[in-house]
Amino acid sequence: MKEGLRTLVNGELFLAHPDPTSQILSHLKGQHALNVFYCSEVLSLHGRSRWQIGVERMGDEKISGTVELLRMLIQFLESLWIQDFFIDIGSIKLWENHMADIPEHRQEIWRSIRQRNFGMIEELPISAKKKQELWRLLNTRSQSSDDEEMADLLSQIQDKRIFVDMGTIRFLPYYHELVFEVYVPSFGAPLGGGGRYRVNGGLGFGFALDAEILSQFQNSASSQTEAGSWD
Amino acid sequence: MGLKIAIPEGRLLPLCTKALEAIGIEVPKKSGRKLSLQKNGISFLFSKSFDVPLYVEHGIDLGIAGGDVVLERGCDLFVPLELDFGRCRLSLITHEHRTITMDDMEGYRIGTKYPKLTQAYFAQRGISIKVLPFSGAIELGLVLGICDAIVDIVDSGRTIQENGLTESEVLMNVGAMLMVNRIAQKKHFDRINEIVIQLNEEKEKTKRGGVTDGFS
Repeated sequence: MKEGLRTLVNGELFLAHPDPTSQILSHLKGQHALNVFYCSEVLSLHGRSRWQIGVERMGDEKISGTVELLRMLIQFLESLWIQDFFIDIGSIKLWENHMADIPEHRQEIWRSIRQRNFGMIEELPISAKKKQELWRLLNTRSQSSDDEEMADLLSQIQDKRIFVDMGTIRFLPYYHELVFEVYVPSFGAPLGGGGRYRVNGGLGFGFALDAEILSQFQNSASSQTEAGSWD
Repeated sequence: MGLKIAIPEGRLLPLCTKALEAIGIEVPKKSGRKLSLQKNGISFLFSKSFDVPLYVEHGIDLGIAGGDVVLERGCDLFVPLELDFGRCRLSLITHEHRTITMDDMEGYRIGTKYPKLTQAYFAQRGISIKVLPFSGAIELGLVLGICDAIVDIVDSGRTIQENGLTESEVLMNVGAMLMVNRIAQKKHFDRINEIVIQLNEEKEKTKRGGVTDGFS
């Protein structure tokens, strides 16, 4: 890979390669629909290496493409004998819509959502009505949605493990619409996630799972079975 | 499955206990060498303050620790609330008899338990320093001349005064913070929101002398 950011860690030169999606996207110029499957090493700026398994669906503007990819993710997890997972979906677009009338506070609001710290929003010089509106949005978590696109997605997938949780946000520059996270309640870290993005004038949707976390999860599941949980 | 809460040992322990008990969460008295105790269906884990963020990042549902520790650790977790106790300063400490400006500190050896925060503070000001990572009694490093200055938490300031040192600059004001595991926020959504709201109401009550006005 020639792209990426060069960095020195303990005197050794590394090519930081934090995100395969943006690199895959930069190589795809066509508008036709296709799925790209990949397994890639991801190197952080600290020189730490991880493996990521992912799929990108390109050139598909319809919600059916997103549905297909989410079904693929569900099948993939089930094939690993992971049944008790949840997929929480949030929307960057919905948040942006709610911030459209207070653009000067976007950064503080995003920071507050990232930490789930509503105290930061409380401090902002905005109306009490707006604060209530943002508070309600941050605490929206259900299996239905007033948003037409989300409601359509939920009705097409029909899986009780999918929730709309507006506190679910992934901060990568290319995500601009739906984003989601996959997790298992008994395990303290997300297994992966993904989202919808716009690239080269077309829409894409992708997900990635962290291979190391998947492996840790499998190990912790088997050790809990052998030794019992902390509870 | 009940909640799991990590609480720091040391000076924050009685303050955390008081804050949790004010919202009806009874914290068991720690006795002997038991590291975890249960009370009313909640599991309490007593650990070093520096380890609390790590426990919360890796599966403990909630935790409380000083903001200095939370920021130094930089763990992937939610910080929904800054609490109104455990307030102190993260400060640069030098010898009392030496007057030094920041510009004089190029190449300084700075002893600290907070290497990331210290490096970031000096790097932002374009000053290159060497961090000596200590784990306790940092003042001794300065008194013995192992380092040229130290960055540490200052509460009453008595320790630095008694050792002929002075607080030259405040890097940041810190207080206790409530941390929530990212998955626990989803798993115990209503219970955790209730705890955050109640703790915030208690904080507002203290701030305004008894009148509640928190987000809800």
